[in-house]
Amino acid sequence: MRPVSSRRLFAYLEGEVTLSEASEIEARVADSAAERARLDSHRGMVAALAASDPALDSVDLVAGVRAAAAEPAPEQRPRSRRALAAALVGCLLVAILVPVLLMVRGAPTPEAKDGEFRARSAGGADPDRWVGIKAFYVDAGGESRRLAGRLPPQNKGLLFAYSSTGPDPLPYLMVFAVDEDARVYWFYPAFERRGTDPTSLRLERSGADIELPFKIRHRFSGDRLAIFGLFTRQPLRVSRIERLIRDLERGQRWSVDAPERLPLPGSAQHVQRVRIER
Amino acid sequence: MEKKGHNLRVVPGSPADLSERDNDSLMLLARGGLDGAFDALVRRHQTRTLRIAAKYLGQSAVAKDVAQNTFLEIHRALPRYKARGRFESYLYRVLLNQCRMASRAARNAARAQTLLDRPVEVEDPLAEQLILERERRREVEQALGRLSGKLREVLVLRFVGELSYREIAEALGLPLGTVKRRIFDGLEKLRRNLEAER
Repeated sequence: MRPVSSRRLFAYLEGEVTLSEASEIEARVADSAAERARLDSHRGMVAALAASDPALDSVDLVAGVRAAAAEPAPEQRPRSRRALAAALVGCLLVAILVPVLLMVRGAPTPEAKDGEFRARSAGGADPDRWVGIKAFYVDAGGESRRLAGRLPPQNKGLLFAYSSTGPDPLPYLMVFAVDEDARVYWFYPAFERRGTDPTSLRLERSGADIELPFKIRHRFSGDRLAIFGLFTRQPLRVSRIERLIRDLERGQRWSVDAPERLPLPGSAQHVQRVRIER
Repeated sequence: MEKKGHNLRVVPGSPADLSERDNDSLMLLARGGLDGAFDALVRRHQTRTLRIAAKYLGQSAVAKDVAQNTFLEIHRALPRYKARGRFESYLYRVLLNQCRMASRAARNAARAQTLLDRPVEVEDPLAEQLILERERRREVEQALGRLSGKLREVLVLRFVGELSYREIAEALGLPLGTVKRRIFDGLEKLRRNLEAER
């Protein structure tokens, strides 16, 4: 009788044979010492394959990863010459083909021009109208209530919901408050340790009134706040926003009662003013 | 969950609390600036990551750098991470890329044997048993190193990472049938490589 093929033995060990095949293999192994030895050998190889150096189990990578993450990321390697050459050839082809195609298709019609203009206008004229944040405070009884102008002293923290809609929703969000002395209080991202510089929150979905998960409590030093919801195409760092606010204050352009739009092209912003009750 | 910002106190987020959260939540918390969240992720996956890297490369010492670079790359990608419940597939993709890079680098450089791989003379029978097991493991690792990258990857993910066929298919972006075929091809070639050595 021919021996069970090696492949079938591995399949048996992996549970990848039918019940009847398994019974057949088990019967062959029971009857033949040679088949038993072969099965043991296959099993031993798989066990040796799975075995790991026990020294690895005591390695802790956390400190190393932390230290490496704190260093600035290395600059990207320059592209290879071949890739650059391909890009140049591509650009050249586009430069030649686009005017040719335009000539073949003729000049755009007035309707087309108009439609293009309207499309651009719809997307770019007022990005702020597609976004918003709603703030809620948690009262002494643990109920969340919409924050409308005044933050009571007994509150247990703030909650937020955002809306990001429109034809091309902006995927990154920062939520922070600035008081009358230009002190910045961070909600999203959390900014919990000096020396770190976290980035915007990536929004997993667009839509209206999507709740953010944390209840966050600050000790506010001032009496008035402007709470910003800042929506952007790319993630921003906390340090950049704090620098912007500092610059506004130094230029005496910061007013909590009439906060300026932050000079961040392409962003959409929502600002809510709040008075803190003492 | 309650946090205090800036002047700041995080109310939950204790290590015990974080260790109960799923991978996606930890990634999102880490992106939000809660460093402990990423530490928890590293702790959760580091042993398996190290084992896979060590088996793929046949070297424990290099595995540590590879595993660290894997987590570093994931940390740098935090702002772009999409929480779709597929963190592990993502982790293993990054890990295998790091392994491939390390493997290429290793081919171009002569490497010293690590302390772990040096033979040790002992008389204790238990230690002898351990040495025999280690020798066996080394033989298999050497034979594994002679397999193509495609076969080595599936074997390492399956038998060291203990991933299911479906998880491997997801991590490598392959059809399930291809994963199975590669696993059995890989086992068969590994067995032949080992027999050829004897």
